[in-house]
Amino acid sequence: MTASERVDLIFRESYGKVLAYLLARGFDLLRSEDAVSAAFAAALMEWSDALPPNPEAWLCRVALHRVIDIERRERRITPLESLVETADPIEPEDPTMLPDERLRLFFLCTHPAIAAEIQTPLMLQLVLGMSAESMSELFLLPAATLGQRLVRAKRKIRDAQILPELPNAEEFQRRLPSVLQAIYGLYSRDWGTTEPTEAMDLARSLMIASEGDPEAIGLLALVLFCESRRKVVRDAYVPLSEQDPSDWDQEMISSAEKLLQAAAARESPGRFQLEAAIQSAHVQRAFTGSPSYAQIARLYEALTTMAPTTSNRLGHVAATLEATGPEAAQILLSRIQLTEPYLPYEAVSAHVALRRNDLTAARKHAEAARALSKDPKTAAYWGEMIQTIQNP
Amino acid sequence: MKYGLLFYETSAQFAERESESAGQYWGAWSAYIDQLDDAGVMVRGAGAGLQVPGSATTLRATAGELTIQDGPIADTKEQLAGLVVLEVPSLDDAMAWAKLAPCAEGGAVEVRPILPDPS
Repeated sequence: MTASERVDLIFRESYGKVLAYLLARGFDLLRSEDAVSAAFAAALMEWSDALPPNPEAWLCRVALHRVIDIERRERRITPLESLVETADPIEPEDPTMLPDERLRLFFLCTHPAIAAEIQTPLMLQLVLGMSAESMSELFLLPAATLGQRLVRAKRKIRDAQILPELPNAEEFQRRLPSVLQAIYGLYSRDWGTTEPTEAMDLARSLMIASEGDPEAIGLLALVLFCESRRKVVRDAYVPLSEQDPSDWDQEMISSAEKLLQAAAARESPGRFQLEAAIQSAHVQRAFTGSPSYAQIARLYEALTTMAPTTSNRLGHVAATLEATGPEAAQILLSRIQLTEPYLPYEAVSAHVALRRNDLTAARKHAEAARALSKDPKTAAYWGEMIQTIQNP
Repeated sequence: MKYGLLFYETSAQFAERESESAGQYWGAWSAYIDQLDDAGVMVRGAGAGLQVPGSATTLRATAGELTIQDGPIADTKEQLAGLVVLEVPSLDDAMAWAKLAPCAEGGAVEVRPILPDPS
């Protein structure tokens, strides 16, 4: 990893933490954003030789001084006031205390006074420092439009004084699904690229802040199950059914199982608990040799009723293929309408077609899957698959 | 931080003022205002109840030409019925008070931050 890649990574992982650190100390959102950018610009210059021992603490300290400078310039803080503000007792030496503050950013962005359609982009910007340009494709909006809406939302937070506080219990419950979804999105984004410990820390903080909400526990269990297998796919793409269970991280699996049981004891099922339960059924293979596909198919059926996303429905198709057979899977598959090309759809379709001995269709879908693979490891897997179909 | 709570009522709610249930209508409003006052969140003298929209006159100047319209600014389902100014720490507090307003059910309450003192 080059120095500038390393700084990029720190930027991505620390942006939200540093911003949350300033907001938690009562600084204005727009000024804090400017100060965080200035701190990162300073880091690019000053870290060219060596990184400081604790880069996050360094960034917090520089951003704090910068925001005080900005406030002093714009609002003319008296020297006495600035003395009080700089004498902050929390020198950010221990970054483990910071994720809780970042959680407040998530809840701030889900405030009902902020338009629903801008909440997710706002979370990505405030927590991850993503620019309007980089999100423009994701939200199918011109960068300029998205940028204007983000600025409008941030001005509203400032002008109407929406505070970065954890809401009361009732409101917390109402906003929790959006926050869970955002953290899961963050985890999925980082899965193939970096160590997704950030999302895991956030999931853990959320579980504590929600006093053990079953869905928050479910999310942490789900993340742990996925993490337990991440090492296996680091070097080459291997489908779950072809992985060797002894490569999985047993410690993570056992923590995840315990969490899932604790969530189930609260008798309030939900989407993330179901997804974690599906993972749990898959890893049963480590003990019994083969997973119970009938059970997995039943869990997917419940999940698609609760959250009928294309990705969940494809999971249901794949489980049905194993549990019942290719004809039943084909019926479910034919009900899925795509609006744009989607790799998992082509992948599942290829497997279903193979099992039905429809080699023409299998090849067509495998080729589409290879074309859609952004990751070279996945593309290589589909390249081999096409070879096998051609020369059985 | 100061917020204006702008109370909007439907024509049915305005009509209650002159109906058999007028006593209930005014009772609910005065109880609400008392509640705000007792909690010490209302800026005294800064708010007002308004007479019915039909009593309004709207003025507009276009290139120096004055037009005068009998009635409120726009013919919408809800019309401005009154306002108060609250002094509370955050939008969440202002919203908590807004949802208790008698017109929230059926009508609407707009919460608008008030410009800070220019000094």
